[in-house]
Amino acid sequence: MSYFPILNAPYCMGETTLYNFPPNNWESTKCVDQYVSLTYIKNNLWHSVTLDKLSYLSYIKISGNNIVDLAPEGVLPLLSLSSVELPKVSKELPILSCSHTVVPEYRSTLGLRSSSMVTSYQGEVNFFPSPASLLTFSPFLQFGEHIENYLLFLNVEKSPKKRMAEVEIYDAHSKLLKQTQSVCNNQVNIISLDDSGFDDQSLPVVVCETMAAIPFYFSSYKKGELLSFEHTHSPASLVVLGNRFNTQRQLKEYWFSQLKR
Amino acid sequence: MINGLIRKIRRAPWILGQKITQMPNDPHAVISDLFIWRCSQDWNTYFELLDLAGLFDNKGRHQVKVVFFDDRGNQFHQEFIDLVGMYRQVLNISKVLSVLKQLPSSYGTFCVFHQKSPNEVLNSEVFLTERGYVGYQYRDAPLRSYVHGNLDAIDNSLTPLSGASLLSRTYNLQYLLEVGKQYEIALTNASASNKEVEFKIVGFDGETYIKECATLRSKQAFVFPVKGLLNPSRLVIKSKMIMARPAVFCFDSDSMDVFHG
Repeated sequence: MSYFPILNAPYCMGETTLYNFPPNNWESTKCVDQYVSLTYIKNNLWHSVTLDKLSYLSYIKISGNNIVDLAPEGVLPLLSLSSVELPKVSKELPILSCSHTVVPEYRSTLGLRSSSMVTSYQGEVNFFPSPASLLTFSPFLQFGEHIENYLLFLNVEKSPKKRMAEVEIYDAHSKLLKQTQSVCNNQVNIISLDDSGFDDQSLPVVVCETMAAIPFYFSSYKKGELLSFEHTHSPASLVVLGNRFNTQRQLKEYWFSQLKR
Repeated sequence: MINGLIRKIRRAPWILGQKITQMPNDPHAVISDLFIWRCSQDWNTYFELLDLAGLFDNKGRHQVKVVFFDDRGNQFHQEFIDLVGMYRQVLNISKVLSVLKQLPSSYGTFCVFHQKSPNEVLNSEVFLTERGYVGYQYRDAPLRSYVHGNLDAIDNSLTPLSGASLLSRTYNLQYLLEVGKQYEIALTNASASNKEVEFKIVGFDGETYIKECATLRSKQAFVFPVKGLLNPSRLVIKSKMIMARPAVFCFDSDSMDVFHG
């Protein structure tokens, strides 16, 4: 079962809505009340606190404002549902005891709210292996006056120990490096994409050779008056009905060898 | 062991012969999602074209075939488009369809078939699939709202690849429909046969506020409007589709946000 982060982005407050009902009627799930927990890192350990008990067929919306007194500033807040309370302190991200579905995944609504609007994504996050790598092609930059573009690099790992990695952003045609940025595990790393020299003909390639992540793209018009938010696929999503991860490995090997550092 | 056997027997009517994506007959087939286009005074649709064969370093000029269906699932236009390699290439759907004297409807579906399957894909016994990114512009807003494809819906012989469920399935969208907002729930039928679909807007007290039934023809998109909600609610879709995952357009004042279920 997955965790549900409270995201953050420029001009926005994150808000995450959890649902205690399954997304389908064909995968077996338990119709029980579940504990809502907040999990975060402090002193190199995972800490969990029970926020509520959510009745079956109910929802709860939790924003960044709701947890400011509960978690240290700047940490990634992870919400979860489970049938038993989580350990208060653990050396690894707790394994959740709860119903799980695959088709589709059990999801929450990960929202970003500005003073003018909300943009959201139906999502969840499972811990990534460490180390792991990321390659993705990113045609989401938007251009025009008052528009800003950001990459939100979301990583969650089992271990709470801090480690850093380098995100590199290349131009797909020239394969030239346009931008590098240090990122931290177990964080939403916010990377501005506006000073990389990309224009509306450029196809950015986002690479991280030692840390996997969900690459979200966030655009804002007039400091949050309008928002846009979506993620790109991993290379495995380019193929179907076979060994997709073999194809992903081939594609990563090719691009990692061709990019000009 | 007996419990495991009972679980398997209970699960059998939901899975036997009911794959989300059926294997195309042609081992060299290419696959596409069934994307939704919207073109009208209020809507423009854009598709982010990627040269998928080029990503695999397959040299040469590549093409895609884009096939359009109206709001009844009838094909009304197709076009071959040259890809420009490793540059960003945005297909302006309104512009593509402007060659027609009159559009048959203000929305429908389209699919994008790459004419060249990369050698690495052909050798790996997987199928190239287009699950790319659609951008929607509402009322000439300066930002587009993006949504990615995630269904391997149809192959390049225009054969739908989703099967039919033996039993009626319920897709419970894990999303909070809020008072004061309006929604348009867009669902496509990626199977070869007509599908009866029941849309229900249900309160968290269990009461059904809105109910609508529709028959979706093969390759058809259906848009179910939701407005005037008096209580927070959720969406339930009942059908014999294996995966009735909708795209949701959310309207709040003048802003629009789109996302997948």
